[in-house]
Amino acid sequence: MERQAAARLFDQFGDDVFRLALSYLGNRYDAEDVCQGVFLKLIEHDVTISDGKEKAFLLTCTANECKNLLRSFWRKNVGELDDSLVFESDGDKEVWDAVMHLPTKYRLVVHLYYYEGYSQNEIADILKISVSAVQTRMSRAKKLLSKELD
Amino acid sequence: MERYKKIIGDIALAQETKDDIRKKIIFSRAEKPRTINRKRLALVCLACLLLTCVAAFAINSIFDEGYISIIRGNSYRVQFKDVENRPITDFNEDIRSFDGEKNVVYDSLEEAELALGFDLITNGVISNGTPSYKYSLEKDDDFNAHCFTKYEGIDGRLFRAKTYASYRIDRFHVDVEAIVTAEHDAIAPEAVESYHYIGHSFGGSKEQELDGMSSEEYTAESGLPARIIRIDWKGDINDIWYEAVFHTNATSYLVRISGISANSEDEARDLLFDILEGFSF
Repeated sequence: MERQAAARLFDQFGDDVFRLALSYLGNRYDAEDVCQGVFLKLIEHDVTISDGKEKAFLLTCTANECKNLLRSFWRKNVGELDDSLVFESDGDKEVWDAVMHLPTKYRLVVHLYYYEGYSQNEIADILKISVSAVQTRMSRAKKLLSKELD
Repeated sequence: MERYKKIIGDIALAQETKDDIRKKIIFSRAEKPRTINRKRLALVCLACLLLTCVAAFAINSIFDEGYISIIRGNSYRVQFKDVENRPITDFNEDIRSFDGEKNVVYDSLEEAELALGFDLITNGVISNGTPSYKYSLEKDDDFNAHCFTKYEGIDGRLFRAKTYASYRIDRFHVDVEAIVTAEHDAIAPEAVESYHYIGHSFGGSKEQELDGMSSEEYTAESGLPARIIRIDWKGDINDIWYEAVFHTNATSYLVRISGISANSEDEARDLLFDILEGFSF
C-alpha cells in the first residue's frame, strides 16, 4: 500500500484502531504501539484492501496485533495497569474496570458489538471465529459484567 | 453498555501521538528483499554465544555454591548462602556482599522487597497471580539482548531455573530460553525433555488459535538433535513462528524466530538453522 493511502486510512480509522487496541490491552501506551504497527505493516507488506472493507480489515489486523503482543514472550513478563485514563465519574471508572477485568477475548467481542455496532456474524468474520463462539463469548461476558457491576 | 460506549468513544489518540504516527507512516519504507551479510553473520555468532552463556550463567549462578532462594508460601522465605560475588547486581549492596548462610522469613511481599531492594514480581522471580507487573530492561540499540533468570525452589532448595534472552537479528525477533534443573525429588530427569515441547508454546487454550503446526527432526553437524516446529497462528499477515527445541545436560532449550513476514519464511528458517549449527557446549 502507498504511504499516502495508509496515512489517509490512519486519519479515517486511527482512533477506531486505537480504541479497539485500548479495549483489548487496557493500556494506552501498548494501544498506541499497536495502532502504529498496524498502519506501518500496511506499507511494509504492501497490503491491498478491498474497497469498503478497510475498517473491518484494520480491526482484524488490530485484534491479531494485540494477540501477538499478549502472547509475545516479553509481554508475559511485562505488564502494567494504565493509570493515565481519566474518567468523568466514579461510575464510569467502575464500568471501565468491569470491562477491563473481563478475559481479553470477551472484551474484544464486547467492544466490537457495543461500541462498533457490528453484528455477531460480522464479529465472527473479523475475528475469524465461528458465530457460535461469538455468541458464547457475548453471553459469558454479559454474565460476568452483570456480576461485576451488581 | 451505553456507558461503556460513551467512555471508550471519548477516548482518542492524542494529537501529538497522531502527528507522530502519521509522520512515521509518511516516512516509512516498504520491506526490501534481504540478503545475508557480514553483520548478520556476526549477529548469529553472538546469538550462539549468548545462548551458550545463558545456560552457563544459569547453571553456574544458581546451582553452584552461592544463591538467594526466595520461596513463596503464606510468607516469603528467603535463604541466603554465600551470596558474595554472585551476579545479582539488582539486590541491596549489603545482601550482595553477604558471605555465609541465613534464613529470613518476611510476612509480606512488600516487606521482602524492601529488605532485598529488589522487585520480585517485576523481575519474574515470583508471581503473585495479579496481572500488574513490570520488568524494565537495559537495551542496546545494536544488539538488543536482555536476560533474566527465574528461580524455583521447594523446601529451601532450588531445583529449576529459567533463563531468558531476547534480541533482534535484522528484522527477526529471536528469543532463547533455557530451563536448567538440579537434582531434586521434585523433578524427574525425563521431564526436562518435555519442558519446551508443546506445553510451552501452546499452553492453555492457545491451540484454538492455531491454523497449523508441523514439526520435523533436525540434526546439526555437531550431532545436536533438535525438533523444529513451525507454528502458524490464525489470521494474521505476520503470524508465523519457527522454534527449535532440544535438551541436553539436564537443560531444555528453546530458540524462537518470530517477526516473520510473508516472504521471509525461508530466511527465518535458515536463521534458525544457522543458530543451531553454531551452538556448542
